[in-house]
Amino acid sequence: MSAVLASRAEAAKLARLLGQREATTLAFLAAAPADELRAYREQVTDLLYDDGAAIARRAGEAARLLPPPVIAKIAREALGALLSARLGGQLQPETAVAVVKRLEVAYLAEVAAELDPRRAADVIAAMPPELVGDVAGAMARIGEHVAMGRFVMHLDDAALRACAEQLDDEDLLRVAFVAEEKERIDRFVAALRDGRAARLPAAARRAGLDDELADLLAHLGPEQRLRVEAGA
Amino acid sequence: MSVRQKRGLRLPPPPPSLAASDADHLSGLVAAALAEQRRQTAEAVERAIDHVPRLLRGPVRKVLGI
Repeated sequence: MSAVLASRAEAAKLARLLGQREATTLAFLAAAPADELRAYREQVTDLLYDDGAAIARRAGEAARLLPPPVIAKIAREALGALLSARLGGQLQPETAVAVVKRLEVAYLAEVAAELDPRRAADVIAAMPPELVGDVAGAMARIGEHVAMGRFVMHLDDAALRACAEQLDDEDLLRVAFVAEEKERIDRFVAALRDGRAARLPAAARRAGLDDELADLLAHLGPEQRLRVEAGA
Repeated sequence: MSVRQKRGLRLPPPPPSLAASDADHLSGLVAAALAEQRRQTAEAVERAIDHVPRLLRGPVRKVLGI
C-alpha cells in the first residue's frame, strides 16, 4: 500500500473512533505517517476502554445474576450501543449468544460498530455465521465500513463467506481498505464465490474506488489477485 | 497551554508530526469522546436499574457499586 493510502485509511479509522462522521474534520491527519496514526489510535482505544473498564466489568458480574431475556431487554432499552458493546465483551460466550439472538439485527449492527474485537474475540467466534452476515449487511447499510474493517478479519471462513454474501461489491472494497489485518485480506477474497471477485474492478470504476482496488490488489497473493484481475 | 494540560487528563501524546494547532484540536476531540462516553455510561447504568426485576435490584446495585 502506498504511504498516502495507508495514512488515509488510518485517518478514517481514527475519525470513526472519535465519532467524527465528516472526514473533512480530521483531513489534516492524512498528512501524518500511518504508523504514527495507528500507534495513536491504539492508545486512544486503550484510554476509552480502560476508562470504562471497571463499570463494564461490574456490569458483566451483575449480568450473571440475570437471565438472557432480561439482559437483552436491558441492552436494548437502557444501555445503548456503546455500553452494550462493552458489556458484550464481559459475558460468557454462550450467554452472549443467547442475548444476541433476542436483539434486532439493526441494533446489533450499532453494537458491533462499538465493539473492539480484540476484547470480544470469544464472543464473536461463538456467533452463528448467518447472524454475523446479517449484522455485516446492516452495518454496511449504515455506513459502518470502518468498524467492520476492525473485526472482519477475526471471523472464521464460514462467517467471512456469510459476510461476503451480504455485502455488495463496493462494500467489500471499502471494508478491505480499512481492514485491520491486511495479511488476511487474501482469505477474505478467497471467501468470495466464483465470478464475484472478478466484478470488483468494475465496481471500483463505477464508484470511484480506484485507490481501494489498488490497495486490495497490493495485499493479495497470486491466486486471488488473478481472480480479481480477471475482471479488469 | 494545550488541551491535555488544561483538562488535566492523561491523554496520549498526539502524533509528533502534527502541527501544534492540529495536535491540540485532536486532543480536544479525544477529551470530548471520553467525556461523552462517561456521560452515556452514567445515564445507561441509571436506566438499566429500572429494568432489573425488583427482587434483584439490591444485589445488582451492590455488584455495580452504586
